[in-house]
Amino acid sequence: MKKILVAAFMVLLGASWANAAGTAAGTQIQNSLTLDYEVGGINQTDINADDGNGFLVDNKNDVLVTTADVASVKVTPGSTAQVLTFTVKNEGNKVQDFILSVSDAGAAFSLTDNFNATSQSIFVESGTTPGYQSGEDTETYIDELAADGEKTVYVVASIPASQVNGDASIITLTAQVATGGTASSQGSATVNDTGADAEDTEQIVWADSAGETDAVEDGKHSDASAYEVQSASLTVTKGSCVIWDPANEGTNPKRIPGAVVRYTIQVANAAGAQDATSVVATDVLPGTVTYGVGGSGLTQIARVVTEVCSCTSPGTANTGNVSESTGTVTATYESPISASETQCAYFDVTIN
Amino acid sequence: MKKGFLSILLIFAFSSIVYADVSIKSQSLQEKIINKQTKWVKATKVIPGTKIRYINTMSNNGTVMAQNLVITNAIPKHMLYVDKSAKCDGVCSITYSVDGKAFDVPAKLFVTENGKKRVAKALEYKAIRWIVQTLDANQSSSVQFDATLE
Repeated sequence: MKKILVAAFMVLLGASWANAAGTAAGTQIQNSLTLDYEVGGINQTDINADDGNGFLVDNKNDVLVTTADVASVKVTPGSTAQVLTFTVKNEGNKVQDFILSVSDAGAAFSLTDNFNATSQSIFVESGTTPGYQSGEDTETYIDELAADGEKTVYVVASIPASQVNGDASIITLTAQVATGGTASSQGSATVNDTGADAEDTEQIVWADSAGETDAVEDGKHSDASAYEVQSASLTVTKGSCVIWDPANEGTNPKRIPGAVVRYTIQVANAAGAQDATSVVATDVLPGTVTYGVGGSGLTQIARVVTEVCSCTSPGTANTGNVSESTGTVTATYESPISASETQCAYFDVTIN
Repeated sequence: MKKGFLSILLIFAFSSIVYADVSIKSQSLQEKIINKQTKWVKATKVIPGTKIRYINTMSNNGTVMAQNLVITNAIPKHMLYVDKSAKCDGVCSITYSVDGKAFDVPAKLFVTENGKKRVAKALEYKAIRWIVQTLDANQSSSVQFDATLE
């Protein structure tokens, strides 16, 4: 009876396991087989064979950086500690450290970069509290990241006060594979082993893809995100009209002493701008006029209306208000003044 | 006395030519571009995703034909068989196994997934078996397959 041995399965030498990132570096892979045969119809002794020690799995260096920001991070001029968020994944097959750096480069969210955020810093999420916490997330490199593991990394920066609505600062985070194995100590950047193949030696093989600003198989990967300045874009326009004089009264009145003049202060927020809140306009009246309608018998108008100014026929007041004190008129506009919204403050004075 | 001596010689001569000396060796190779040409060289720089070609070469250095040669090769752990890559020199039958015990053609290999039986995928094969009918004296013959490091 023919005897067929089930082939011997691979001999495991040393640590070995597989994961999505692949078989662990240092794993010995050996092939084993069995030959069964006959001579003259008589079964012969089986022959077992292998490929010697086979080969040793090398150290695949592969890193993937992706921004977690699904859109540009909206910032206001003068703000500090603004956060861009990235994920760094070890797609290699061994524990590695990762050296992190930022650059004012790259492209993101179809924005045009026209300024550099200042005081740029990099911090690694500690895992204690999700999201950037200045007191907790203090590590500036990734320490001992296992194969398939990933870390959240924050770029924290300030926005110059001089920036205006629509300005953008694009920032690229780069992660460089570094030697792991020693906790709490940043390893040196790895070096691709381009020399002769060495049997039974665990060699370093850069196998990363090209990133935002780095090349394929360079031991790095990068991705970009962006700060986008969003602020109110207000336009203030002052106007006036005469609505009554003692001679003509309400019919074609002229600006003569005793006439009532209505001032308008229009505030418009541009399309696409951020809401403007707590908008207040102050107007110091000249000594030649007095706040109010004097002896005209007219009803005093002092209101804020959500509309384009209509000097002779103001609309209905919103929640804003107009007040006067010792010759200074203060117009407080309804909050917010949204993008594309216009409000008008009205008040009457009498020519002395 | 002469006759007896001749008989011994004949017996010795006859017995000395009827034998088979079969051996087999295995090689693991990987592709490498040398002078812009792709060549298979000894596998030494291997990372996840690298394709390895295993070549098992049988040699019969004896004086008679070997028959019914059955080569059973477990696919090494961490290696994934590349579909349709198993071959042999000349004529042979090739079967596969998903448990290392029962061998059959691909259409008759099944695995159970989520309680449902389905035809096994190539990367789920655990072993390959080649059956080569004959290997003449002083001849060599190879069988091979490719597998990718997971």
